[in-house]
Amino acid sequence: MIRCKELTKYFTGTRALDGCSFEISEPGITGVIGVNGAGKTTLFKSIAGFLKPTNGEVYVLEEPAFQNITVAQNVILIEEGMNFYQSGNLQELMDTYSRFYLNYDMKLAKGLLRYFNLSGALKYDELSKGMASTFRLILALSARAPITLLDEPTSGMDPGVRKDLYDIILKDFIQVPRMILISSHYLGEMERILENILFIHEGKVLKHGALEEFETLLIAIQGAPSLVRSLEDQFAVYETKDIGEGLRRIVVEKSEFDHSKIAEELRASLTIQEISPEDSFVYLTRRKGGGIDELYHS
Amino acid sequence: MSILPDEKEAALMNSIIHKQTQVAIALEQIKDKFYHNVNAFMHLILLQMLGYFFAYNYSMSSGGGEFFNFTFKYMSPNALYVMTIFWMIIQGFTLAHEKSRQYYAVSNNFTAYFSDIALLEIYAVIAGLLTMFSGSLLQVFSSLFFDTVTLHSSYASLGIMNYLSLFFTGTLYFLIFGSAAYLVGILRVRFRAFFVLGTFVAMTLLLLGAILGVRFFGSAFSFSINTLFAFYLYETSFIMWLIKVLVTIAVLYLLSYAGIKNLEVNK
Amino acid sequence: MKLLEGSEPIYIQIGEWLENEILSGRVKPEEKIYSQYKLSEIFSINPATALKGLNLLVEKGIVYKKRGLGMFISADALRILKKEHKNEVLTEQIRDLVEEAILLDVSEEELINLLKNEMQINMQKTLRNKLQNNTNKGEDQQ
Repeated sequence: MIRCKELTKYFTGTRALDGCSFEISEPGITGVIGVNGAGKTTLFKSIAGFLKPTNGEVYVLEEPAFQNITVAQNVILIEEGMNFYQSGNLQELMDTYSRFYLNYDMKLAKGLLRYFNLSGALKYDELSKGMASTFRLILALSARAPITLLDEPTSGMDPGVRKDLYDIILKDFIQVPRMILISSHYLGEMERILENILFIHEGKVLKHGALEEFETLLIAIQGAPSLVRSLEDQFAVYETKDIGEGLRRIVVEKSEFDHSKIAEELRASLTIQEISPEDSFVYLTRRKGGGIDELYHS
Repeated sequence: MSILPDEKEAALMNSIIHKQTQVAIALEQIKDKFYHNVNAFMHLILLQMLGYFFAYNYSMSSGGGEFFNFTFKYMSPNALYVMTIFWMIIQGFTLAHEKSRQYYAVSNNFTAYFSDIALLEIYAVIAGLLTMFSGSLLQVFSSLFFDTVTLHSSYASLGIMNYLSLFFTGTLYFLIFGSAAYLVGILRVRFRAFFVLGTFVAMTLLLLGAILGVRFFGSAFSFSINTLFAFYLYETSFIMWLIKVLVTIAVLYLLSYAGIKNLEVNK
Repeated sequence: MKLLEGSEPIYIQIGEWLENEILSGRVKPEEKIYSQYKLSEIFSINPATALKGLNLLVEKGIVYKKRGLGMFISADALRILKKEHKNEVLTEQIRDLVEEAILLDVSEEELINLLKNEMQINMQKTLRNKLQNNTNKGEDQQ
């Protein structure tokens, strides 16, 4: 239902998306991960039909997305800093949205407002950053749009509220299965509710797969420096670090290591540690090259 | 990719996909924009009352002789028309300016344009209705204060056709102003940075054009705001006038749509 | 909401948790096991991930699907699990135990005695619990 083929988008001076290709055809919760400026927001806006591709295509519900009314009524996008058409109070905004998004569940919306102690009479412009984020999420979830795009939905929220919100997204998804895409540059807290991850870097899709593929992406190998150094030529190394007690630690891809021809005895003398998706993401997006240690060696 | 009980879930998701037409959405937008801008009508009434107030800034001549004095006051509802035109311009420009704000619940350029234009037409009709009775209203107010009130000969025949023609012409004139303001607003949204520059350039070109035109083609070529108004106001044939007005409106609509067509939603 | 920990993929942790539930007797053979949605609720995870964990058990033959009714624990479940755990888990735990013992300078004899001791204490606890249950049952009947 969402299909991007070599999607490219230039703005004056920047290449926000540079040949982005992927496809999502089943309901599910997908995390869109990438550093700031990787192109996540541009991608969401292109899927929602707000932006026109410079090159390539984006098809949503089998139709080109830009300015498409079928796409507009079945996709809801919320992001930080979005300004609503009218600066009304929260209840009025929800009323407007309920008239255009036909699946809108007002009972749920009111219940969620109450749960977070938000009054419908408050003005959107007067909300704090965290409360505004909460309201936007309530609005988006209540709309029950077949494709729901949440751009950094928990920015500005207190940690306690953030946890609740991811649980709410999960519960609502189970209630009404649909395509939910959540973008964040912080994977840790939302990892557990995800089914798939779309990893964007420098405007391209670096990897698109199920959560567990990312859970077993990178490993850290620790051992005697001479031993470890001898391995470094064979793999793509994401980090090197010399630890006290004469140990050297490197981060490599698990699949490369598993497929390599390394003797049993050698393997046994190394300590191998799995790296969480969150940390993997950091390694994959950090600038390649030597470690910080080399900078600080005198 | 997903290993959920896929058929059931896919079916569930397909059941919540909608395909309303653009017209249906546009109609819903008209309703929504109308209700959200209801305050505008109060502004219209206030402005019109201001117009009436200014109408009383009349020209006066008085005179007298040995045995009598008289004061002759002359008022016209022109101020009222100006106020209403001012209101229409504000509405047109504001409607266009909303395009620079990102999020309207469900919308695309076509539906937004369609609902904006329809709304402007509704505004023009209402404005026309309210100004239709301006002359008579002035008469009513005046008779509260003065002894004798005489209407200008153009108001002499108070038949229904006169009122209708007032309403009809008023509405169309208001629509022209509203649509022109809308177009200007769209140009501003579309060419944000270049708008001010573009205005200066356009004005300079017009001025140059006028100067050069007069230089080479004689004084008949000089035009000003007056000649622009005269183009419409002094047309005696009804059919010609109607054509002029409708074509003007159509051109304004087309240019506005061209300006909106591939507009992206971006801050 | 239960917490998951460890660097292992979530679905594997779910699989392990389920196996422990079966081994401990909290869920019994031929009974219905937690659904993917129930699991997603308990652990606050995506139901697809929960399903992957369940499918691990299906692959091992510990759990089977009854069309339209859900997932059930097979009669063989305990046998399979115990065999597997004896092979893998217990072996690994013994390896860790031996390493630790060597580090702490505990001799083989000492280790065996500690083991015998612990088994005795455990057996006494189980016996006591059984007696307690019987007394309670007796009281109820009276």
